Amino acid sequence: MEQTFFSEPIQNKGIRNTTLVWFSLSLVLFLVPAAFGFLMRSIQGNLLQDSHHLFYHFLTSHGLLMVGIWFTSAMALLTFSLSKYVKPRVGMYIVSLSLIVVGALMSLWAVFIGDMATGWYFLYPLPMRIGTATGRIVFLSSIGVLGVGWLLWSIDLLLAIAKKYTLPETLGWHYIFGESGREVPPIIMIAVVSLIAIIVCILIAVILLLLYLLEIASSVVNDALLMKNLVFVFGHTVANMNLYLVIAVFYEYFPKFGGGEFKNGRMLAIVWNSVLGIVLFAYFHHLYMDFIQPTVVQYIGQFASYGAGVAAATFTIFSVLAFVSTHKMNWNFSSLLLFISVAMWTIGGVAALIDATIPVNFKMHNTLWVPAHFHTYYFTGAATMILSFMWTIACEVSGAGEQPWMKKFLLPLLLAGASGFLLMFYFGGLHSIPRRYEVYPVELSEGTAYAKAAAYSILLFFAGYIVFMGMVLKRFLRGMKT
Amino acid sequence: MKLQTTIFVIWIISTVIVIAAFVVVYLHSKVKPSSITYEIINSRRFKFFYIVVILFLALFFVALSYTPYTREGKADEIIGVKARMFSFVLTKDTVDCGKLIEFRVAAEDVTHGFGMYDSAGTLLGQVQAMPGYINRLRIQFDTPGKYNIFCLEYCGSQHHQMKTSLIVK
Ligand code: HEM
Ligand SMILES: [Cu+2]
Ligand SMILES: [Cu+2]
Repeated sequence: MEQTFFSEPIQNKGIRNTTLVWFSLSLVLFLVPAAFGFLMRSIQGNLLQDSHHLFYHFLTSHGLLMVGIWFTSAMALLTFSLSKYVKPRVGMYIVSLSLIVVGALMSLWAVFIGDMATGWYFLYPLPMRIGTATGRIVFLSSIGVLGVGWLLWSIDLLLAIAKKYTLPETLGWHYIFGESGREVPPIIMIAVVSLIAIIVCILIAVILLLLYLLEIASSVVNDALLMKNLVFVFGHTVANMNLYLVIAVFYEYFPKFGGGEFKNGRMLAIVWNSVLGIVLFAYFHHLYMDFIQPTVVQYIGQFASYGAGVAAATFTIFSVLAFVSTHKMNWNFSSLLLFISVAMWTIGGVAALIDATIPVNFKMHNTLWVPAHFHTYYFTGAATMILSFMWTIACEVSGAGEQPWMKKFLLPLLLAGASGFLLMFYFGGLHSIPRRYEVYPVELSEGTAYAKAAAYSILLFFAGYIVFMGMVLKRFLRGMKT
Repeated sequence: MKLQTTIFVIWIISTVIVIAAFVVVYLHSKVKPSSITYEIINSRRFKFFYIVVILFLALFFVALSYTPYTREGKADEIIGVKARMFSFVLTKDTVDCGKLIEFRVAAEDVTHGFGMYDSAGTLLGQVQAMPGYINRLRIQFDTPGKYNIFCLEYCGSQHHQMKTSLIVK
């Protein structure tokens, strides 16, 4: 296999080895929240009786760890890929990763020992009412530590980019205004847009945490609606930026599988600049069922959600289809998995847009339709894209290629397991089954059967994943030694 | 057809279309490049863009006329709802068929969800129950029977057991 997509990043030993260490850690760490996911479906499907009381702990920890792991892996993938153009500091990279690992461990402690089973978006005032006093402090601090890790890292990446490009350049304003200027690769532009949005939403999370601390330290009582708005600016945006960080890398590398490239230009610059404007307003769709929120804000939420959908469909997805249909692609395990992830992202995106429609949300909000769509674009979309790139990197650092059976058997196995798991969520949504229920009430007992089927599908996925993980880890280890 | 079924069917159809598009494109990538280049397809992007924008704008305005936020006219009856860990207290648990009921939903401790299910287990509508606020949800019941109310916002260890019912005569 004579691929050299990542030859420059691989030569940067510090960045390379830090990335490989994190990737290896994340592949193994993923098994923890994944096992929680399996246990949750088993409890809901009545396959497991003993750990019932832990359901909401699994739920909270699963959400936090999954988002934490995949967001961090997306940042690591971006840092690695960007090092072709700019020089991120290895020291800051390691500091951020260490903070994130500490934050993740603190959150595990807070949830299971501190009893903070708050759900991953810890909706105020629930964290003030449950858990131990220490658990509460550790929980909120763990979010703070994660936030600081991501913040330092984002700032460092932006600084590294700023050493080479000016801000208007990175945002492609010279393309928009038709001025002459340097060529700016899409990966830089999309990275800058995402990093700015990430920094804004982390700063908002700081306000949220300070309000919590104020309430803990004094007798001030916070406003529940304000706190809900704050937590969703943060949670929604972090989850969405996770995808955009990967898309930045995708723009750079996917076309290489067909021997071409995605060029930056006027339209692309306009689209990503508007995405920056739109994306921070889309979070309002999480508050549709709070009728006291000003109605015009609800409409803005629906408009912004649709806007993000239009941008994704007519640019990224259209480009991928147009590119692939006109190029002779090198279909290996990575490129095929990437292509499938884009399809999954589209399918989940359609389900998300449907749910972002107010009258639909009235009947689907907080049902299993929600985990159905976000797992489709987050798990089989964004996370799977990262796994695909890990595979390419693993092959390149080790010089070991892939075996033909991976495309023929491993990929269908992973796909079948994941799709079965997802489909059961969609069926749950169809039947109005609530999300986040430890046990389904007799009136909604279809939920139990779907959960059981999902648990078996997850096992199929695990079988494939373990094989994949082993092959990647072996290659990473070999790569680190050279 | 209930809304949930319609939505599911729409999603399935979209999914089939997406998969078909990806498969066709995939098969195309295995044959020799044809005379249609990336640049030519790129020039058709605007057509696609306009179609998508018009579709979404239409959907946007249609959706706006079906939102649950309308407050026009007076409700026939008002029922107060208080949600707390882990029960609902309703000022009244029997209502008459065909009347427009306004639920004024409040919460005592943490945020809960007020989800109204019909006797077949279909979610008719919902609203959040947030401390410090009163949310007004209007529903008109057209069929007599027993309706179940489930909590639809995670509120702690007994969240899944938080329910009550309403009789429509
Ligand atoms: C092995 C794969 C996975 C399995 C088996 C799994 C399973 C589950 C289950 C059973 C739930 C609870 C559903 C309910 O509300 O009843 C859930 C929730 C969730 N999952 Fe996953 N999941 C997987 C992968 C992922 C990935 C890759 C991500 C993110 C990158 C993710 C993020 C979340 C989040 C944020 C929640 C919501 C937690 C909450 O409600 O507080 N999951 N998952
Ligand atoms: Cu409740
Ligand atoms: Cu609840």
